[in-house]
Amino acid sequence: MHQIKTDYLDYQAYRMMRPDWRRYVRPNSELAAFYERIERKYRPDQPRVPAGVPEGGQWTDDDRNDDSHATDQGGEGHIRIAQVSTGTLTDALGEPYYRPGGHHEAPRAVYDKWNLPPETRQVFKEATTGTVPELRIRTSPDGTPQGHLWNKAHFEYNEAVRQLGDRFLEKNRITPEQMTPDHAREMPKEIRESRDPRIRDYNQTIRLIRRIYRLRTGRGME
Amino acid sequence: MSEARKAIQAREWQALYDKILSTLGRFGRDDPFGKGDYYLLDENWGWHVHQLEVQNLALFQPTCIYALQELLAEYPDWEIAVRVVTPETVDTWPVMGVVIAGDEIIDELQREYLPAEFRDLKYGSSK
Repeated sequence: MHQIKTDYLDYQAYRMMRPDWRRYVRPNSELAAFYERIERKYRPDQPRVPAGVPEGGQWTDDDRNDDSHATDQGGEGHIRIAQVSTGTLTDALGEPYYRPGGHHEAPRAVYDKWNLPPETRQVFKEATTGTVPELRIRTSPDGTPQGHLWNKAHFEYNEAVRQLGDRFLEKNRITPEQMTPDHAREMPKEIRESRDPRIRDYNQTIRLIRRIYRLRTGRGME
Repeated sequence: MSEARKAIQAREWQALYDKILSTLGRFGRDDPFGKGDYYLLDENWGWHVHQLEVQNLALFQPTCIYALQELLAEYPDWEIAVRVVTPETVDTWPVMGVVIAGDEIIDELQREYLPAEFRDLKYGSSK
């Protein structure tokens, strides 16, 4: 019974831990030792950076595509995206990054207030994650699986992107009326790469849910 | 989800969104930046659920909750998840609220966190 509980808790810790936890945890601390144990337990095959280089012995990422210009999305780790030569954004699994429906990276609440040229508005409209799987998750071993009471405040995300949008216009010295489709593609890029936790954590959670669903079911949402 | 079901879901999402917003208009003001009484999420995630973030706790009064439930009579597969999200408490209170379905109200409000005037809220035959 004790072993089952330990395994359960270890697995929950593994599910919740960020792939880039080393950026935030002090080396050789008790927490670092705990995370290393969890990684060894659940990802024993994960490749490491060879010894002899500064990061020697640390885990590295196994889905990096060296042929693309992969970028670390401010802590998204395995959910990184790649800009390929066609200009199409794909995720780590090579599937389109944007899909119809779901979460708007630039919320409607933000761009609807702007008087945008139609072709620019269309770019914002299409910058969506795709539908979000309705996973139910237990928050404690005996708890009721929850899916409906989403634990992220949407209005915080909207407010953070509104601020980012204002800065974007100011930096580019444009008004919404002067915004081109290229600007509209550039702004979601800044959203994707934002380190503001209100933006980063929200987008990361949605991408993570989509990925868990894909791993569990072996298929996408569409 | 098949294309036909997706189309039905999208149509129902929009119809119910409009009805919820119209009903809530009697109780307060929608604001997507958390500065009004509530925010009805305006993104269709493909669920049979509408997500409502409430800043003004008065919206948890049974009058409002029942008014929302009435809307679901026509939409038996749908639910409305109403969550407490006030800017002052978003980082300190647990995730809580009520989930409204056509035939039941699942009450997950944790009374101990609420101001005194909201601790006695009761929803008929809620779970």
